[in-house]
Amino acid sequence: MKPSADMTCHELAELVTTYLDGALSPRERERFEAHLQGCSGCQAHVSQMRLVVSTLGQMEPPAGEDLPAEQGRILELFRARGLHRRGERERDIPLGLGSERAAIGDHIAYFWESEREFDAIAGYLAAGVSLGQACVLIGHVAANERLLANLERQGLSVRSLVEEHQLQVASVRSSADGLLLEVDARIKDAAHRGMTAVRVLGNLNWGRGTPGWPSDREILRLEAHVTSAAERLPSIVVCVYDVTTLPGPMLMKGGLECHPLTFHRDCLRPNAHHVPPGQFL
Amino acid sequence: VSPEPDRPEAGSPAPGHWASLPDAGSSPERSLLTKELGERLRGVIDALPSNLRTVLWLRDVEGWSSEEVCSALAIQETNQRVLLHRARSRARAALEPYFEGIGGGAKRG
Repeated sequence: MKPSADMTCHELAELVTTYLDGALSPRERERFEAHLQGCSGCQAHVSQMRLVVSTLGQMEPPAGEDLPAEQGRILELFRARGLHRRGERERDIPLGLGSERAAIGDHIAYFWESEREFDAIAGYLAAGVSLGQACVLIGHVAANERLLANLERQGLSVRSLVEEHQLQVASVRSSADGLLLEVDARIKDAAHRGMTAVRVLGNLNWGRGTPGWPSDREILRLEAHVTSAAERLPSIVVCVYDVTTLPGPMLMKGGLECHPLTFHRDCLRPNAHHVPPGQFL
Repeated sequence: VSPEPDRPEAGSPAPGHWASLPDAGSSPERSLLTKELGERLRGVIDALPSNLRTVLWLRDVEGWSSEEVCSALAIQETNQRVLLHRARSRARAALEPYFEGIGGGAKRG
């Protein structure tokens, strides 16, 4: 890259919020990511900003009476619109996996061992499509193709679902930040198209070691941030973990520590091993 | 516009680059500190000027989209982002001692 096009750390620090909002122009974003790739100081800075955002997202909102009048008025407005995301989450959406039900904001690790268990993932997508939700696939092309073939076998037309943006295949980026932005953009796109929720299916472990693929470290960074992203966007996220081929640390850290819920042996369970990103990163 | 407490300093070794590296930290001691982050953040939010506080609170604690915040507060998108960025930067800077404490201090960049 030519020196004139290089972004400095100072510039990058000024643009972090715009970057995290996905609001940089494609050119600026490219410069931002190019700098980030090679600068551990800025990687730490962006990580810390994300950590601040996710810690804020886990704070209990103050009770109405403790608030200054101006904030109280806004909160009133927010709650009146029924958008308040706090409180008990009611699991009433068919997940399409076993007979389990999920809630918007769920982030689930799906552990599979047999071929049958892998093929069953298509049910998650089929249920989403039938509910008018968008489905975003992010993973190895071979894994995607196999799941899409299973959808076809269930009588769904993948081609028309893709044309209607109900089914989207996201491109895999090598950094956690790039991946988060990619998923974020897909979710926002679906929301703008009037879809009620987005189901994300992450299958990043299939392509491990291939060029341009995110490293294990980046996958773990991504996973650590997905829970808070899922909670703030109208989404359900299922991440696929192959227990027979993945190394132990990836299963423990990526699968168990990053997901508030697990799906294994046809059951969705709360996960006591989940570690909040503030502790994990 | 007040100066950001958060920026890399102008007098750092390479202009525009970090004087000292912010450290993400990774040791297990982090878990002991995490609980404190939330409490510390509460203090930071309370101390913010009200325009910064409102935007930070709505976006990051309540989880509103930027469009929702703009329409509720009748402000422009760019203005909203500037306020959010300042608020987040102050919050990050206020937590700096925690980040450094975890990673064993700053390295020279």
